[in-house]
Amino acid sequence: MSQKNLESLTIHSFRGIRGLELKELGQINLLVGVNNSGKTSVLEALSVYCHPLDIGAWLSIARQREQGFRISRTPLLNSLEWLFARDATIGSEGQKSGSIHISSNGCYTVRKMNASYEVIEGIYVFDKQRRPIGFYDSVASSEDEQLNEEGGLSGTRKGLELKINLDTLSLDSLISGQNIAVDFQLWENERLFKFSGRKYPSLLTSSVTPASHRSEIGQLRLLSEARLHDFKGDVLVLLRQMDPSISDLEILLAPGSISSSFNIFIQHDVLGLAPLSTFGDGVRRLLHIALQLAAAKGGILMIDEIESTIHTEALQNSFRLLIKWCNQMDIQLFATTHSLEAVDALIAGTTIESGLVLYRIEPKSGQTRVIRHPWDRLKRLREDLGQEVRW
Amino acid sequence: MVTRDCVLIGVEGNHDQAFIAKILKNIFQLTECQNQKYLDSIWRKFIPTYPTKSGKLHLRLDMPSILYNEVLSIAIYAGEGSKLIENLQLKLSDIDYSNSLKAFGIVADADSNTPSSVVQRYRDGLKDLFPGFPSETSCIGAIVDEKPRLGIFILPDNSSNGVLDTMLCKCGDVAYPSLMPRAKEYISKFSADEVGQFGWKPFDRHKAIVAAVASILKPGGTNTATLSNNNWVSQDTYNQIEEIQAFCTFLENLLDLKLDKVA
Repeated sequence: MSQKNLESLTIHSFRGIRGLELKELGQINLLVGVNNSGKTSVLEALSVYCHPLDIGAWLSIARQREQGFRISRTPLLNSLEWLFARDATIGSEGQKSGSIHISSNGCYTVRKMNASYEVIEGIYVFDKQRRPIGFYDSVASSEDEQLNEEGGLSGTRKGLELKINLDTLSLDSLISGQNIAVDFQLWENERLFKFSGRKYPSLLTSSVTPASHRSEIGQLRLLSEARLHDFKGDVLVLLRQMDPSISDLEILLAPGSISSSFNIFIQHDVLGLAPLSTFGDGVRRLLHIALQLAAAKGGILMIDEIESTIHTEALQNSFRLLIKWCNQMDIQLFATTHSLEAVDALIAGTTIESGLVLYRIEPKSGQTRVIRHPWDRLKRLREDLGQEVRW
Repeated sequence: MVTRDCVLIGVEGNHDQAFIAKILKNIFQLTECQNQKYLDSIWRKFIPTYPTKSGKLHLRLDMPSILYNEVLSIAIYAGEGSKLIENLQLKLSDIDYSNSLKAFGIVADADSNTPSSVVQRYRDGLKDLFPGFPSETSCIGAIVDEKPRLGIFILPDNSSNGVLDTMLCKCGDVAYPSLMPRAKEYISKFSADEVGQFGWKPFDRHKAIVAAVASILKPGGTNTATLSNNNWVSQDTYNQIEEIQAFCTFLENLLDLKLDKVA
């Protein structure tokens, strides 16, 4: 069997996680645990680790938990800070600091990532139209804002200095590696999402959160890709698990629309052509998952709360198709669940060859403990002994 | 909630489970937990869920007996008899047992193998979970004092071949002196050829004697029920039967609970 992108993953520090080891990863990795045990944090850590120098990706991940809010409630730099495991000690000048440390084995070129941040302050200067015209990274005075000699406004602002170190495999050898060290400075009041960082090294990922199917951003592109990759037929098979009357998917301009924005329409045996937005959450989420699958070929797919919006009766068939495609498209799946029905449906929809592994995450004082069950043991525990495996 | 030290005892059948539960209740004065809301959290993992996902509608899963006092919470788990080792391996793979258990013990019988070979079988099967598990036994069972404390007792007396009912027949002689001779006489009338046709295993004759008395004490009752409801295990049988005393000494050592301290 070929080596997976990630054969093992250790999250030494990330958010509240300490020393969490996911050994002998499978093709399908299911994360369970009580509330606040760190399941979603594992997915976030994985996303950061797969895009270690892509600050745009870091910022999206930092904001992912506020996806359901119309307006983000936490300043972006603060959200970014919360990705880091907080150090118990405060820096020498009273500054906050934290670290992220993740390592892995497998085909992925990055073997180890160390990141740290420090809160910094700088002086910014606005011209008379209140556009920032420059900053200095020395510690500023305590006044928030004052007129400078040229008549512009100046003041202090908060920033973060990120230091990221990577140990990577060199491209031509599995033996010798190389070290990459990159520093970034991010400042509040800047248009941070335009700050993209570096796209390489990275590992292809796709992410599905409990709310991401409600956003139509990117759906058209994903559906186009699915069509171009001859995957649309499979997407329809999945959608028919929810509604057998669904016969096709189209990208159309809404009738009477004065704008040129296209939408996804569903060809339905009873309803005719109907916009996707008029269908229930189950159909929309399954479509979203299917399209993200197509986008994750050869990489990593992360699904937070895999059972969300899918009726229990549809779980087993939906999961069977999802796993079939993950195996066929060489996608390593990491999914979280709170549902015992989802665990049972995944067991029923898989064989030992599917590579299903369950990891239960248990926060303990000072360390995040993990219980690992491979498919055969999980099946015996659930099907023969009726054992509760989520806590 | 009260935090108690937890002890897990693995047994090979429901009769053994009922026997130990009765000793812990009658001799060690522990209380049997009858309601899930009083269950210590570690034992929640041992509550099976129905129906089983294997699709076998009438399969009964083992629910352990849980007994407790102010400081101890003891689960007696019958893991499908011959599958006990495998089921314990599975159950404990899902539990932080090394930090959760104060003690772990096995009570098995020597119906078809010598006590020492039974001990060795359990040692081999459990050494990955408990590297210090005993490899030999004595007349009062074997205890290894580590964390968790480990022990094994082979019924009836750690040296003879036999089963729980071998010991119970001696208890019956004390508790039911008028019934036992008649039950033995009745069972003795079945020849070796006959019981061979019935498919009796070694020591099933002892089980049949206990069953005969049980059916007089409570017509329609089972051996498991008579162990719980009648006087096979009592202060009288403890005082007069050496094997019961030896077994209680084993439990004293495993549980670190001396009988002279029991109110």
